[in-house]
Amino acid sequence: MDYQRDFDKLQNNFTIIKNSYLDSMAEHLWSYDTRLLEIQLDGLGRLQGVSYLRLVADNKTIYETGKSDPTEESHKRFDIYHKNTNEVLGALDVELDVKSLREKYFQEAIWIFIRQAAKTAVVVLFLYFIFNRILVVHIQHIARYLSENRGRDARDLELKRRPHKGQDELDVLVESINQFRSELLEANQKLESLNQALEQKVAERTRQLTTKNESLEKAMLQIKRMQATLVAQERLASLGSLTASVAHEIRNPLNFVLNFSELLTDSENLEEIKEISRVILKHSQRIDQIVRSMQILSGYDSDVLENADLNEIVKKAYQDTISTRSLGSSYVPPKVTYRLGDSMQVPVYTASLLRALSNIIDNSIHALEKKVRSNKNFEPELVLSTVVRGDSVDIVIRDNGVGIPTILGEKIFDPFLTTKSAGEGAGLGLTVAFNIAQKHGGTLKYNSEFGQWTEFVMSLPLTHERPS
Amino acid sequence: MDRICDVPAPYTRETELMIHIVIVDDEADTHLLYKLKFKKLFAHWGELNLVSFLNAQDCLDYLKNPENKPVDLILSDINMPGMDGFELLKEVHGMKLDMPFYMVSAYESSEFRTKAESLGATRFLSKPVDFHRLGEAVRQDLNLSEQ
Repeated sequence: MDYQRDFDKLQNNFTIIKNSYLDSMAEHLWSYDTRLLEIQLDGLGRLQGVSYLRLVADNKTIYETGKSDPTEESHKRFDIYHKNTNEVLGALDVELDVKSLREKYFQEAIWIFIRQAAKTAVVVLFLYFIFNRILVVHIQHIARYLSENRGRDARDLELKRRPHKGQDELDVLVESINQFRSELLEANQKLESLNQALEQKVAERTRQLTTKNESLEKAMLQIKRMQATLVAQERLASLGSLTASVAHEIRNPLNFVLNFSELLTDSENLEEIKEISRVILKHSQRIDQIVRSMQILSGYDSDVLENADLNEIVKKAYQDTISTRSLGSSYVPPKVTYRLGDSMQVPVYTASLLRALSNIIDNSIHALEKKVRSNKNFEPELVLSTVVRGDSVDIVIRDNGVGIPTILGEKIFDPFLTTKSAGEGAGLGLTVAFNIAQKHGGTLKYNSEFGQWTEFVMSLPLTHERPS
Repeated sequence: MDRICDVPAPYTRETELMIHIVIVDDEADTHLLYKLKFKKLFAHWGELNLVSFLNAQDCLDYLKNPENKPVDLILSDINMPGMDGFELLKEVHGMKLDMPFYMVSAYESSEFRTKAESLGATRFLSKPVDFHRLGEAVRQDLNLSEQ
């Protein structure tokens, strides 16, 4: 704006020249008074802002001063007319010093910039020092404090500041930090005590567990001892009950044998003697059977392991059973079906195995007999088979007799369990058969549908391994 | 009914002293034994009517039948299929019959003996039966005089 004003003032020179100088210059030119012209032009030349003057008359430069640097805005040509005739006497070229004006303003602008820059720099520096002094120092202090004082025994954060009234942001910050720190410490302490409590608890639990373990071990030991005692007691008890059962089973036939024999001594009736003898024989056989069974069960028998044809044993077992039954005039089934595999030599305790199979076959025939008695149209079937399965052989005894009630389950192998009437069996047959299967390292299992059929399967190993 | 008995002697003046004994035992040969033994023991005591049953229920039915003559003595086994000797004893007492009741068992256990006594059995005999002692007991309990 200043520049525009100065520029206008400079332009104003053209107007001044036109209004106040051109007329007198025309007079002097007319009179050709060069001296006055020069004086006038000198004066003109000293006008502020005029950088170049040239007076031309009759194509002749009469006067020239300054340096010419014509631009459109700085140069103006004035024609000089005669006052009365309007005849062109000459021309005056005037150039104004716009350039220096510009330079002047440019320099001034630079100066202003430099000055302002310097001022700003000073202010900034000043502000920096102040800021540094009142804030940064403390923030650095806080940062250092925070990075160095982590322990719990560190003092509270305190800034080196002059005492002042009120509370500014730094004070709030310091207070917050101290509060945060104390809270953190407190929380840490709590955590630590919690940890300790936890550790204590764990230790206590471990101790408790150890004690419990020890007592459990003690209890275990006690139980083991008790178990051993119980087993011993159980053995004694089972021996006792076994003895009682055996005694009962023997005393019944013995009652007859003893008392009938006594009668024999003074009987003279031959028929009576014969009848009594038959009864004595029958009951003596019962006692013999029981004693044999007990011997087999206890393992006190003289049987030896030898290779024998299993099919022959099965056949012999059936024949033995039939002949025994015939002797006692018991029921005998009309036929038997054999489904025997190829002849095979198997290591067996022949006498024991014969007894076991006989016992099972006798049970089967008994089951058939029961059904025959209740149903005249019933066709009894007894099938004896041998089948090799892998490294063992199965002896299968199947009948379509009365079957075994499901409720009996494995109890049928218990000693002295019998469904037969008194004198028909002591309940040792299947117990003996089961034990004999085990003695061979084999098994005895059965399947039955009550009222329909029963199937006993004795599995014997083809090669004998001594049972441990 | 599994009843084994000899044809009872006809009821006459002479046979007024007939002794009526009932035996309960699941061993079928028991009847023959008692018949032969008692024949010798009772030879000089009078007529003997011996009736045997293979199970307790049949015996009870016999006792309940009013047509049958009163029974003087019951000899019962304990272990029998179905009702056992103890239950039979209870039933007999329940019928207000107070004839002597002998338990005869092959189970020689104090438990059985105590139970028999507590149920009011007159005697407990173990098998094999000592018929000499049995004879003495019968003579005492039935007030049979030595002749």
